[in-house]
Amino acid sequence: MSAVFSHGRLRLYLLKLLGGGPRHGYELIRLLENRFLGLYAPSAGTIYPRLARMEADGLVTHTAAGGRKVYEITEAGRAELAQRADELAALEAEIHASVADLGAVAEEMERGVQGSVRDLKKELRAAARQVQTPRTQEWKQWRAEWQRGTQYGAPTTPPPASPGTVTDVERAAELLVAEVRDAVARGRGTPDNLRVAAALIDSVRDQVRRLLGE
Amino acid sequence: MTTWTINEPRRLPLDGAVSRLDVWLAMGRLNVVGTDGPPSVTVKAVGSKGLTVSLDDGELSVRHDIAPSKLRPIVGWWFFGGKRRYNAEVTIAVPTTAAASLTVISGSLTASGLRNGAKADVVSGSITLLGLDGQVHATAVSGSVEALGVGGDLIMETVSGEIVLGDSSAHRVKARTISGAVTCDLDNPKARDIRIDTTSGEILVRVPEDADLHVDLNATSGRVSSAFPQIAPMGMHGARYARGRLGAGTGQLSAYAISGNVSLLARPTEDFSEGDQA
Repeated sequence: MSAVFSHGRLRLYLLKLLGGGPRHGYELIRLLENRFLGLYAPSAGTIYPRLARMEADGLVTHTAAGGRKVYEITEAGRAELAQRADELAALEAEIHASVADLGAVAEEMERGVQGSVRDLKKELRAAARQVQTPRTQEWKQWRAEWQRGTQYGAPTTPPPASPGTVTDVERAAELLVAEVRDAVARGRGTPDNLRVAAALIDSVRDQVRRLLGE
Repeated sequence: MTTWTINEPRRLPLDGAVSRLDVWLAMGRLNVVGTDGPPSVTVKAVGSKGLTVSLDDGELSVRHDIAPSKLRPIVGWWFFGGKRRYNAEVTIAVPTTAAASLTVISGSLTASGLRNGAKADVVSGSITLLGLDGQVHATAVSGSVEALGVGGDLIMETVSGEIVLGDSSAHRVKARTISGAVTCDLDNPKARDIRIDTTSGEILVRVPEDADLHVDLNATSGRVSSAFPQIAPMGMHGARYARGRLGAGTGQLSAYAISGNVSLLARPTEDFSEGDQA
């Protein structure tokens, strides 16, 4: 279908569309698509470079409106349009002929859709392979999660508590252990006192255990 | 009301507006094209039973006249010369504004350029849609549904067949299949409701990077994967589900697969003005 637009004829047709009033690039694409009953929809990558070249040749100008560029035909553009009127008429006739046989249009449409669908599936499948976890790695994750008894994707490290309090408690416990060891090593205290101290520590341990939710 | 009986290939130009189209074919190929030009019916091939075309107050109807009592299962038609009697190849041009209701029992159906919605039913065969808008409902029993550039409100259902949706700006999509894959490439960051279901098939869905969606992906015995870091797959023994929010989370995307993988992919946003420098 795009064969209709060989040898600079797309440029001529774009001039013709802009001759009807200023338009932005996206509108031009839609107009072309409508003219070809949806069979030919040029991409932005086709249209914008053409427009840029036409602008360099002084046939169109653009103004930025709301983040989009609106293109407008210049006097030089109108002159070229008038000069190539015969060529334009021939092009219009050709486009008309290419969409006149609706049966052929529908068949080409079906082929076009099937082709695009195939490409799309291939593209998405390739993209999906990129995000899917490889099987070997997945197996390792499964094993690790089984050993941990956690869920897939769950955070592996326990949530850190506020660090200050933890160290305070630990320091207190270490201090207690150090003092007890020191006292025993120096042979201080009677066996009775030591027994009372052990019972005391036991009861404190119980309370602490209850407090920390063990 | 004007009625024509068509027994041989011919082109039938129609004068007068067409606002509704109703087609019922037992067997064959149906193409419907929305155009700005005049409406017409082109019959390229027709079986011995002929076709009836009628135009009544803007309602164009093209059908095989089969009494319900004569309806036999499709297999019966093949055995008893159904193809010779009913096979038809029909291309219909209607204004883009016409609302269409299309049925083909056995064969293929293509529709393009209809802006006011369409209902397409095929029992055994494929459905191809291009550039449709409005309320679109496509149902196939055994066959695939392929759609490109469809906007509006889209429902696609098939029992054994694949569903593919590309370049779609639809704001509501419902795709359901029993045994077949679903591939969806969505273009509309403001989509409101997307539901995809399959029993035994894979789901591939791509949404724009800047989409505003609440995402809910589930795979019963397959795996879930996601290209968005904020939607991380979770589950007991494998990636079985993923939930999360993209952007403002105004729309809803849910995908359920029983025995197949579910993959959520990101579509880079295209900025049209970027092409200017090329």
